[in-house]
Amino acid sequence: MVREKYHAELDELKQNISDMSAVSQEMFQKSIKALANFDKALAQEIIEMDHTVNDFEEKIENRITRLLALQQPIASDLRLITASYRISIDLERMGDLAVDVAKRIKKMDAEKILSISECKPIISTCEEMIEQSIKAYAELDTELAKDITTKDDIVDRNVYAGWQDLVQMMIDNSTIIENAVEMMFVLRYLERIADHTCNICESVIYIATSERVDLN
Amino acid sequence: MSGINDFADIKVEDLNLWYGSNQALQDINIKIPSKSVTALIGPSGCGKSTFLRCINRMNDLIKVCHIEGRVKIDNKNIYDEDVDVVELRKRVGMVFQKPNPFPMSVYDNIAYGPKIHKVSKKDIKGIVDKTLQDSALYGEVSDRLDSSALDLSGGQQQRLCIARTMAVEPEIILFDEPCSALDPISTNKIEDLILKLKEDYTIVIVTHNMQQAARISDYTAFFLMGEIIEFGETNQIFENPEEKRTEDYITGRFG
Repeated sequence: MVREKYHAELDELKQNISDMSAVSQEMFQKSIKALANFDKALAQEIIEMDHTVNDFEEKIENRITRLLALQQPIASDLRLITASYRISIDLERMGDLAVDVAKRIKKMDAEKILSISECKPIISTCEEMIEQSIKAYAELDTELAKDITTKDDIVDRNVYAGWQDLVQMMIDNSTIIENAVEMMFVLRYLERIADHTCNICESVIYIATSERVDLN
Repeated sequence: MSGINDFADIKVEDLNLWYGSNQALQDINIKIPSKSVTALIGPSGCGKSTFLRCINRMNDLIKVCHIEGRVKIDNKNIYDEDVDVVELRKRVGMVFQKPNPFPMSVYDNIAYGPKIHKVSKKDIKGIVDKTLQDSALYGEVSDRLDSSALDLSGGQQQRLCIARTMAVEPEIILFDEPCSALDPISTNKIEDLILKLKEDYTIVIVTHNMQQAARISDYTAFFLMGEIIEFGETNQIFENPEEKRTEDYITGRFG
């Protein structure tokens, strides 16, 4: 009863998720680079990458539908399949949020770029969280997955502090209000990206143990 | 074994079975709860059908078979010398892989058991009607009770065999791959019937169909090379088995 074709399909599903993660990660990296350099051309490039991540989501959904219909998976296989579907949705949303960041960059006024100290820890922590969630999935490492919570707290704290700073800046100088509002949105999107990495880690724990945990 | 009620219709203790010098069952200890469906799964030759046949002493018919240990039904060991095997098989009915109706009418197939147990003719008519209804066959055969049972379809024959088993009012019904010779529609009917039957009977079923075990059973025992590797609630066995060998078998990584 060894099911070689079926297990090859499961391996391909894992590979699809891993490839999709790489695209979402690249979109994120480009979005923070575009933000740092105020690079509107790069921002446009990110917007155009959206369809790639959408295509991946569709491909994964089709593969999962086929697996469920034809293979009737059970136990850890079923957990892998259902959780991978959720992960593909998280990755697609992360891609959308990178696109949202890019759109905000395009709206900003180049003469009034704002610099806040919280940006650096938010970005570096988000980067680590994305890396960590991808690794946790690839290796089904529950400890690595659980560890994401502390990082999510760092992002949340800094985003809140960043908002406070931006509000103060707007009070001090009304001419930067538009850029400050765009920045508030950007911080919000980064915070949401971090939340999606937590969701991915929750799915990893579910695959490995069947436990449903809340990490954010 | 957590979550299983201590009260059990069938309690198996230190059961060992040999065919000649070949040990087919090893140290089986299991409590099968009453009025529930327990599925026995495992690769071919793992001992699940042998175990099933221990529950109504069908293995007595095999000369080279030697059994040690106890199978208790309501706390009475069915292998004790004072047990009447005919009476035991009335309490513990069995349905086989291939439908095996007697070469007689639909009515007589069901009436056969009660007649042997000296039930009056008048009562037999009531039993036939009731068991045909309970086995979801009545609507299909009520106008051909005098026709040969061999003219029924495979699925109808299997439900007739279930009705025949029920006619002697057993407490336990053993099913040995009851759907493996049936088409999907007949299989669905048998599965629905088994789910209904568990309200009144304790059911033990051997099946090679993993999804069937997951769909219809409350408890599942995984057998491998004559041993029970894992026994527990079906949801747990199929969602997150404790033993890696169970996981590997049900997900098709060996077997």
